[in-house]
Order: sequence, then C-alpha cells, then structure tokens
Amino acid sequence: MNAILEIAGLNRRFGGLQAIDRCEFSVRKGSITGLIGPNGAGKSTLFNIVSGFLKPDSGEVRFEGRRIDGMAPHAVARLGLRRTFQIPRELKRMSVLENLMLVPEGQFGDRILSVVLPDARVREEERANAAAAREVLQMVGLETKADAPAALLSGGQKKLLELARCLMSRPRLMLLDEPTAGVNPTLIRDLMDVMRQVHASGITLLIIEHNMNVVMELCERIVVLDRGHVIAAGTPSEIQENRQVLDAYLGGADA
Amino acid sequence: MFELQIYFVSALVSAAIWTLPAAAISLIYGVLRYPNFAITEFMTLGAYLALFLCGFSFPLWFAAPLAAVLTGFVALAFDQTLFRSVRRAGALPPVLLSLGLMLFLQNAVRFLWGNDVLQYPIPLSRPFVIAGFVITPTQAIMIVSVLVILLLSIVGLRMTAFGRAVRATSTNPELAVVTGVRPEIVYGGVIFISGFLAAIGGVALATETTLTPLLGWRVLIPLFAVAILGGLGSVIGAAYAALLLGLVSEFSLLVLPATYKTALAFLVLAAVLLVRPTGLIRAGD
Amino acid sequence: MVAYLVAILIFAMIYGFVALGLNIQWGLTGLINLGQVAFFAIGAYAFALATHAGMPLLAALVLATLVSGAFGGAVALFTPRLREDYLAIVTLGFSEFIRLIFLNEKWLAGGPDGIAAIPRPPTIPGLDTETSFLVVSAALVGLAFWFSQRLARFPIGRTLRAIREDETVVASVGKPTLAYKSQAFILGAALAGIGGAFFASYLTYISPDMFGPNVSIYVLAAVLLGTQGSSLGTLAGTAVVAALLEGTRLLKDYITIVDGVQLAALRLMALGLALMVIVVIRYRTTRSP
Repeated sequence: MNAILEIAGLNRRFGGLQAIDRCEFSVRKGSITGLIGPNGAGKSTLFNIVSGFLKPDSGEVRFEGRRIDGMAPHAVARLGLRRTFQIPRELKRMSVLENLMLVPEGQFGDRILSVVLPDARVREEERANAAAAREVLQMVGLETKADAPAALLSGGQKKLLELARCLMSRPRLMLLDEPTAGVNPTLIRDLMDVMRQVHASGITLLIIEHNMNVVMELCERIVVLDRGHVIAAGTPSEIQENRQVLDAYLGGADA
Repeated sequence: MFELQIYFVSALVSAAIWTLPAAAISLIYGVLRYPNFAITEFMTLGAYLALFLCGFSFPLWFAAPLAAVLTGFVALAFDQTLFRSVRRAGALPPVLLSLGLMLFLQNAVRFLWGNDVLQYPIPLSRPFVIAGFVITPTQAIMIVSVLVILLLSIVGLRMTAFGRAVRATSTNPELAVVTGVRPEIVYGGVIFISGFLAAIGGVALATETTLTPLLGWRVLIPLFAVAILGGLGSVIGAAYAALLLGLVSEFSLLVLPATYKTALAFLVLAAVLLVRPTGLIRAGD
Repeated sequence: MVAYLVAILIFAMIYGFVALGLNIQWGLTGLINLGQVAFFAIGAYAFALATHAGMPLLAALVLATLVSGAFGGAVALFTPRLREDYLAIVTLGFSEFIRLIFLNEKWLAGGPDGIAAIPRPPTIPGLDTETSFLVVSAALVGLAFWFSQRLARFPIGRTLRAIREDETVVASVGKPTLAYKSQAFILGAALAGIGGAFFASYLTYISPDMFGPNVSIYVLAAVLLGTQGSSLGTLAGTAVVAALLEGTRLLKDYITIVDGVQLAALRLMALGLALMVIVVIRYRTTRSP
C-alpha cells in the first residue's frame, strides 16, 4: 500500500485523560478515508496533532514518508497537508475573496519590501491570485458571494468556505473536520459532490464525519477511533458488520 | 552579619507595602479578568486623602482606614459609571479604561495637592534594635497593620457569604450565577475592597518614603511582578510572592546596584509570564 | 498665535509617527502595545547620542529607527504567545523599565539631567526655523503615511489583518505568524523611533521624565479615535489629541484662577477622561439582564 499519511504509536494525554492512546493507522494515497468514532474519541485531537497544532507525547506522524510530528502548524501546511476546522473559522471582517487570496504561498506582495517597490509586479500577482480564488469559489459554488464579508455567509456556506480555503493551495492531503455537520440536507449533497470533485482532481481526503450516510457513500476505507485507540479499520461494509464497532458506536439508535 | 539583618528588614518592609495593592490587582484579575493599572493611583489617592484627614488633626491610624474607605468609594464610582458599561467586551476595554483612569487620578492628585513633596506628621523616633534587626516603630506598626488587614481579608474570603461568592465567581463565573450569586454585587464589592487595600498600601508606602503624585506609579512594576508571581487571582499567593520578591530584590543588592531593583522585578515579571505557555488551540475534542 | 499653531502641528507630526506605528501593531495586526513610549524614548536617545558622537543628522535618524526597531523585535520575539492581557502588562512594564534604564545609567544617557544641545535639521532657506522644522517633519510623516497606507492595502496587510482576526487560520494556511507579528511590531517600534528622533531634535533637550506613560496614552487615544486600522483615521485622531493637549497650553494666558502645575494637570486629566470616554463609546456592550 502506498501511504500518504502514517501514524504510529501515537499518545497524547490531557491531565488524567488519555486522549490519544497508542493510535496507529495509515491513509492510502489517492483515497477518501473516513475517521469515525463516538464523541470524545479523540478525532479532533488527532487532527490537531497531525496538523501541528498539538504536540504528541510520543509516537510518530509521517506525511509522504517524512516525520512531521512536532513541526509548527505553518510548516506542516507548507508541505501540502491542509485542514479545515470543525467550527468554521472564517475571517469575518474580510471578504470571501480575501479569505482565499490570503492563502497562496510565496506572494511577492506578502513581504514588507514589496511595499516600497513599484507595484506593477504585485498588481499582476494579485490579478492572477484573484482569478485563481474565483475559480475555487466557482468549484464550491460560492462565486456569487465573492465580495460579501465572510461574516454574512450562512452556516453551510461557511463550511464551503473552509473547504475552499483548503483547496486554494492545491494540497496533496486534506483533513476535513466534520464537513457536513450542521449543514442542511440539500447542501450536504452539494458538499459531497465537491468532495468527490476534489478527490477526482488527485487530492487525498481524510474526513471526520458523524453522518453515517455520508461516510458510507463517500469513503472507500474507514478508521474507527474509540478512546483514542483504533478499534477497527476496513471498507464500509466490513465496518458495518464489525461487532466491536457496533458495540462501541453503531449499536445506538441510528444504526 | 549585621548587614544581612538590615536586608531582611528592608525585604519585610517592601513586602508589607506591596502585599495589599498586589492582592487588589490579583482579586480584580481573578474576578473581573483584567489587569487594572489604576491600582497604583488608588494607592496615591489613598495616601493623599489620609494626609488630608491628618490635617483635621486625626491621627494616622484613624485617618488611613477612613481614607481607604473613601478611596474604595472612588474606585466603585468609576467602576459603576465607566467599567460597568464594557463588562462583556473582553479584557482590552477595561485595561484601556484603567490606563485612562491612571492618568486621570494621578493628575487629579497633582491638581489638588501640587507637585511638592509632602510628608505625614509622624514624629521621628528612635529605631528598635532586636538581635541586630533594626526597625523603626513606624515600620513595626505598618507591618503589623498590613498583616492584620491581610488576615482579615483572607478570613473574609474564606468565611463570609460574600467571600464565598467572590471565590465562586473567580473559579467558575457561569456556575456561580447558577448557584444564585449576583455578579454585579461581587464585582462592585471586589472593586471597593481593592480600592481600600490599594489605599492602605499607599499610606504604607508614603510612611516609608514621601508623598508625591508619582507615589504609586513608581511601584507599578513590583506590584505586577508580585501579583503575577503569586498566581493572579490569589490573595495568599500575593502575600507569599511579595515576601519572595522583597527578599530577592533586597539580597540582589549584594551583587547588583540599587537602581536595578525595579528592573529586576520587571525581569521576574516577564520570566514568569513566559514560562506559563498559552497554546494556540485549546486541548480536547 | 501662529507660532502656537506651528508648535501644535509639529507635535501632531511627532506623535503622528508614533501613532502610525501603533496602528500597524494594534490597529492592523491586533497586537496591543501599551508601552509605545519605550520605542519613542529609545529613538530619541539613540538620535541624541548619535548626533553627540558626531554622526550626521540623517545617519543618526536612520540609526534611531534601526535601534528602536531592533528593540521592538526583541519584545516581539520574547512575547510571541502572550495573551492580550499579558501583552498589555509586559509592554507597559517594558516602557517603565526602559525609562528607568535611561534614568539610572548616567554614563549612557546623562541620568535625570538628560541630554541637551541636540541639533535640529538645517533651516530651509526662506523659512523661519519653526516652519522649516514643520515642513521637514510633515514631509516625513507624509512618507510614513504613504507607507502605512500601502502596507494595509498590499497582500502583506491582508495577512496582518488576518492575524488580527484569527491567528490559527493564518498558521493553518502555511504562514509563519510569529514572523509576521514580529515584523509588524518592529515596523511600529521603528516608526515610534523616528518620532522620538524628531522629538529630541525639536526640543533639543530630552530627559527621562518626558517618557512617562502619557505618550503611550496619547497614541492609544489617537488610534482609537481614528477607526482602528485606518492610517488616515490615525492621523486625524493624532491631530485631535495634539490640539486637545498642546492647544490647551494656550489657555494659560487666559485662565488665571489655576497655576501652571494645575493647568498641566487639568489637561492630562482631560486626556485621561477623553480616553475613557472613547473606550466606553467604542466598546460599550448592551447591558445584560
């Protein structure tokens, strides 16, 4: 298997709580992998560790074979591993377009020096940047909102903006933290289409998701986390039949 | 080893001066969650009010608490008219307000009493010498008074209903409200007490030095160093921290010039803040 | 009367640098700095010492800018993760710390006596010395304003505004937030340093007691008065504060019931009150039940 993300022997404790407990799994390059588990299973903590916002107590995280555990968040992002946030963190007082134009790396105009130089180069760069941003907005269906302040978007649209911001950098791996939570059913369809499109363009997806329909339909492989430990991994049908998973998680009302 | 005993007494005197105003900073931070930079000016105001009352031939032991009560009311008045209207706007607005209040009060004192150096009408008296410890009667009275007020505050926070409400609000404001604590009463009470404590500290400082409009401002850095060192929010912590910083800065005189006492306090302050890391993301799922 | 007006305008220019600097740090990037006077003082002293060491004025100005910027960088590097309230304490403490250093280090900065005989720039032919100084400082403020405006509008300004709104997002898109924050803090400190150099040159004499917290409060009020983040607003706010503070000096000829000390105290009381009123208007929250 050609793994893009490998997690091995990962541990993280918060006070008396072992949030991540000898966690171990990998994500195949080019896949859509689902990460599920009951509330408090450590899914978001895991995302925070992988994206560099938290340091693990022990264990390894490898992205494309390279150790990334303990790296700063911006350094991890620069390698081509991007994440969204469970609760959308749109930059409220900036326009939707600006939210995306923030993203590209190595902008010449993003250096202080550019401020005192002739601005032709920055202008050119900004034109291209805006065009790229509009393209991404088109892809997620937010093109009509480009100039609106991000604060005015609806909950579902904010989720789309999270996705768009992630897409803007053309990463190789995207971690999506509950992309459909709190989104109305019609928009969930749209979101799933976008995710398929993203996947088709060659980006690997790791998705935390509570909506089982979404997970079962979208993911080719599912990893189940319980109390910070991987209790099962396999195809959707394997997971649906796994007794341990049913006991821990699916045994409830919505199975 | 005569010298070491002198350092020790100086440390004790400094600690006594700092303890109550630092406790005031701590209390306000614990309950209202902002650093109040006007505390130093409540010290100055309290010291001058006490001087003013001494002018009616009240003795200082009577004038000081009276001045402190008045200072408490001044603090309460500003809290109710200005600070109250930005209660839910985070730490920054009250911080800026306290800075404005600092400038206002410092210059109000200057307006009323001028820039001249003034002093309490305390007769000079011969210091005691006990086992090499040299201490003046004024210093002894000051230290004992501070200790009494400190103990009263600690007991008050432990034993009274108001004290319990303060501690509840300090640890968990939402839960405190649910259990029937009325937050505005706690806030007002804490502000009044803080004004009172600061003023006593101001009088204590003025008995050791002289009264000038910059009286309180000069101890801004040590006060915040003490409050932070003591773990913002804790009165007992402030007392221990005052003693610790007093000892450190007095004994630093063995190796550092005297002018660096305050600089040292700043370095302590910065160092303590830096080793309390606050991460980017809150832990948890 | 005209002389007073020129003096007020010169002070407005001097504080203009300092306020524009604070606006980059706080208005644009969201880094609160209650001790902007520290960098103002460092700039003033660096300029005074450099000119006394025989440096040409322009070189001394550049040096003052660089030295204040360097101190800004040091503060930014040591306090990267401090929360807003802690940053407030550290910056205010730092400014008093710097003042104490200048007060105590006689060998370096003359101690309480300060430094005298600081040169002014040569007078522009055809103008009197005061107007000439005003023209030179206004030209430089204009330059600083142009720079601030472009900074805010350029992609770098977008990144700084994004940091003000949500640092975590900026890190998540691959930008080193600490580096950006440090740069903003350095720029703000350097601008304050330029202001300090002009201040020293204008008064031709500086002493530690000129660098109390008042200057920090002036510029906080100025940035708050102009809508936070806008360079034009900041300059307008500075003009209002300077008019309020320096303009009321005029009153001493008309008001005789209070003496000089009292009048000075009244002016600063007014400034303190003004800051408080602005804060209440800007941040007032609806009363909760």
